[in-house]
Parts: sequence; C-alpha cells; structure tokens
Amino acid sequence: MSKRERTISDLGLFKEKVHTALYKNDDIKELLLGDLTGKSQSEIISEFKDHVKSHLFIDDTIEETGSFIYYDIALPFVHPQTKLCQLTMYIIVHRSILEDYHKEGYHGNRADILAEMVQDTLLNDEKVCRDFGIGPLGIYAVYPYNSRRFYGVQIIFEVPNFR
Amino acid sequence: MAIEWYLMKSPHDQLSGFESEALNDFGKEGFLEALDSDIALDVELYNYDLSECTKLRAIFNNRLTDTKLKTLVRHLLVPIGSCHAGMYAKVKDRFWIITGIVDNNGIYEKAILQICNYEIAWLADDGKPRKRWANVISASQYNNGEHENENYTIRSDQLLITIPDDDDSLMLRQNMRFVIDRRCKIYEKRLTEGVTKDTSFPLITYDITRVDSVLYDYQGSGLFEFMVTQDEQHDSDGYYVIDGAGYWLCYEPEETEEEIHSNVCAIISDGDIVYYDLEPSVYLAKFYDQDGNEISGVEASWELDGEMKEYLDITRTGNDIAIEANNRKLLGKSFTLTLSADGYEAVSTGFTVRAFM
Repeated sequence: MSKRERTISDLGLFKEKVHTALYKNDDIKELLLGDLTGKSQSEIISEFKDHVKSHLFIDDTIEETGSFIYYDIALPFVHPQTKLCQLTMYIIVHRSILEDYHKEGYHGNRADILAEMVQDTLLNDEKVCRDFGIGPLGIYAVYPYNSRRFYGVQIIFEVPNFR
Repeated sequence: MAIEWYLMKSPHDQLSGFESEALNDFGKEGFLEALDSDIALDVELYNYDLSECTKLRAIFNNRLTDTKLKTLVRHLLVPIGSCHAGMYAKVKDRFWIITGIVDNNGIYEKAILQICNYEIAWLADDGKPRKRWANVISASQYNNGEHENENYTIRSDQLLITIPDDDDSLMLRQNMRFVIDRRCKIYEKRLTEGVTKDTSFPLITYDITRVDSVLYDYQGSGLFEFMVTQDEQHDSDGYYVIDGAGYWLCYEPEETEEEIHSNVCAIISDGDIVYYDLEPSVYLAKFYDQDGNEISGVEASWELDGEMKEYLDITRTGNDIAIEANNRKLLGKSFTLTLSADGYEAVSTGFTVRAFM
C-alpha cells in the first residue's frame, strides 16, 4: 500500500494551530471581544469564533462594528520533497473604532495593535512559531488593507515544510 | 285585475288586495303543516357537546345532488328560532354541523349543514378529555401557517377542521396534537377487554399549526376553525380509558411530583465539547434534597468511560473535575462522564474532543 498523500493536510492542521494560538492570547481576546468578566467559557469560545475565521473576508458581508481576523493557508510552491506554506491573514477593524483603542506597550491604531499581538503570538512564542514546519514561521510581507467599512493589515507568513 | 288570473278556489283574502297579510297570517302555520307531511323528517338538534338535545320535524333539503362535493352539504328548514351556527343536527344517524349564519324569511329559518366525518378528542387544560364531532376536509393546498427549512422529509398532510366555538374548543392552541385516523374503529375491535391504555397501534397524528377563532364568530353563535398538519406519532399516543370512557389521544404524560423532588444529583457543564490543546472544561457536581434545595457535604464519585481515556488530563478540585485534552490522538474521541454518590441516582453526560477552529 502506497504512503498516504498528505501535502494538503497541512491546510487544516495549520488552521487548528493558528486558531488555538490566537485564542490563548488574552490580549487578543480582550481586544476582539471586550470585557470578558462574567462570560462563560462556551460564550467566550462562541464569540471568539465569530471574530476569528479560517477563511478570507468578503467586503460588505459584515456590517457589525468590531475587529476581526480572517486568514487562510496557501501552498504556492510544492516541490518533490518540500512545500512552501503561506498563511495570509487579514487583521481588519471597522473604521468607526479604528482610533479608539490604546494599550501599553503597543503602538498605532486598533488594527496595528491587533497585528502586533498576532505577531507576538505566532512569532515571538518559540513553541508556537516552530510548530508549523521546517524552522520557525516568518513574515514574508505586510500590506495595508482598505475597504469600504473596514481598514486593517494584511500579513503574509511563510514557512517551508516537508510534503 | 281579472279574477281568471288567479288559481281556482283561491281563498277570498288572496283576491282582496291584502295578499301580504295572508302571508303574515298563515305563512308560519303553513310551514308547520308542511312539517307534519311526508316531505319533513325527524331531526335531533344538539348543542356543542351533545349534552342538550331537541327533537323536531324539519325539511332536510338538497338531498338529491349532482356532484360529490354537494353531497356533503344540506339545507335544513326549521321553525324560526330553532337553531344557530355551531349546533349539530343528527339526521338518519349521521351528524351534521350548522355552518354560516342562520336566518329566516318570516316563515321558516334555513341552516346550511356540512357533514361531520370524524369525532376528534383531546385533553383539555384541566386534564379531562373533550370530544367534538368535526367537519374535516383536506387543506393540503393551503399554507399551514408555519415555514421551516426542510432538511429531511416527513409526512405533511394538512386538514382543515371545523367545530363549534364553545369555551373548550376556543382554548385549543398551536402545537396541540390529535389522533385523526379512521383505523381507530378497527383497532377498538382488537383491544383486550378491560384494557385502560394501549399505545401499540400505528396512528396518524396531527398537530395544530393554524388557529382561527375570529373568522367565523357570528356574535352569539359561530364556529371554530383550525388547521392541522400531520406529524410523527409519539410513543405515548394511543388508546386511553378515562372515567370509564375510551379515547384516542395524543397524550403527553407529565413528570410526577415524586420524580421531581427525589434526591437527585446533577452535572453542570458548559457544553459537550472539550477542545484539544485549549483550557480545561470544568464539570460541577450538584446535589439536591427532596425539596429541590442544593445540599453540600455529599462526596461525589466520578467515572470516565471511553476509548483512550488515559490520555485525558483530569484535575479534581473538591467535588468538581476539570478535563483537558492535550494529546492529538484524542481528537474525535467521545467519552461518557458519570456522577454518582451514596443514596443518589447516577447521572451521565457525554463530551467529544474536538480541534479548536
């Protein structure tokens, strides 16, 4: 029996790891969901899932005033033995609340702060950043994101991995 | 006016120019005379629950019809003041319900009758059964008053039911259920003598999806019309003997007081999923006395059952336990958690380990 092909399995596996890592960061939860006092674990999980999605954002599909993280995984280069895993993440904030958030140790508007928190979570935690592939996860590019209601940051992370 | 224009042997007052007075004077009597003739029948008029009966002679019209639908409708001509909408007329051992406003022409009153083809039964709010003869017609072409996304296929017959608008029928509400199945008569022949309950027969059951108490309110008389949609038979739907009489009922037994207020324990949890590599899920043990008050000091005993349960990380704090799933092998596995204590009936809950996404 031939070995099971697992090239695409990393798509789902990466998403589980990203979702879990982001959820474990209390600062991200507080920025996305506000004050968590009095909320049950299942309520927090449910609300977190409303704000962090493992697929890409379509403009005008959300009218809610809030902050959101949308991401997906791509494999732009698949070689005989290795592949490149690319995590594209949209960190977007409703324009009406873009400027109203401040936190010690972070700079810029709400989207910048959230992007920095994501960076801390995925890159500055050695256990997390080395959990994705061969070597640590790294940033390939960062762009601004601009749409009608939302503004934010697009970050592209990359890591090579075995097929 | 020439006298030759009139019928022969016409009474004098019909030729005198006061014909309308003759109608007033002799119309009712003439009708009563007609009721004594062979064109009239013996009819029994009943109130909504058949508890009051009036026997009278009436002309039962429209008997010879040309279409199937018209055979289900009759006209009843009776002395003025005899009947009103919502009453039943029993003619030749068959029940008919009076629909529409009953009115008169100064000589007799006319009621429109529709055939009663089923006697529905239900349990009223006081726990006692009620029965009403009903006119039941198919209403599958109408909107049943509800809409839902269909994820699976179920039976969907709809019936429109007309019964009198008495105090009991007006209290029928949405989601009340009925057995409407002609086979009940056949089943009754098969019932064991002395049986008080039998829920073994397959039945066609319906629940109310649309009620209309205003449309046929004629102020002082009227009808109650509602629509039922076929549903699935429940385990407790069947034949019940109540106060010596048998009824086919959709019966939902209520929990008894004793069951509610016995010594019980309960597992309080925040969902049925334990997420892999996330914070632990906490399960609280609660104990209650016979009055339903929470009591402390009972030592809880927890038991976990399921494949690979040894890979779960369990932390116990007092009577409560926290369960963590930090091993990827646990993904998709389901477990049963049972809480018990001396003198308390054990309770169980289940959870599944899932990846967080």
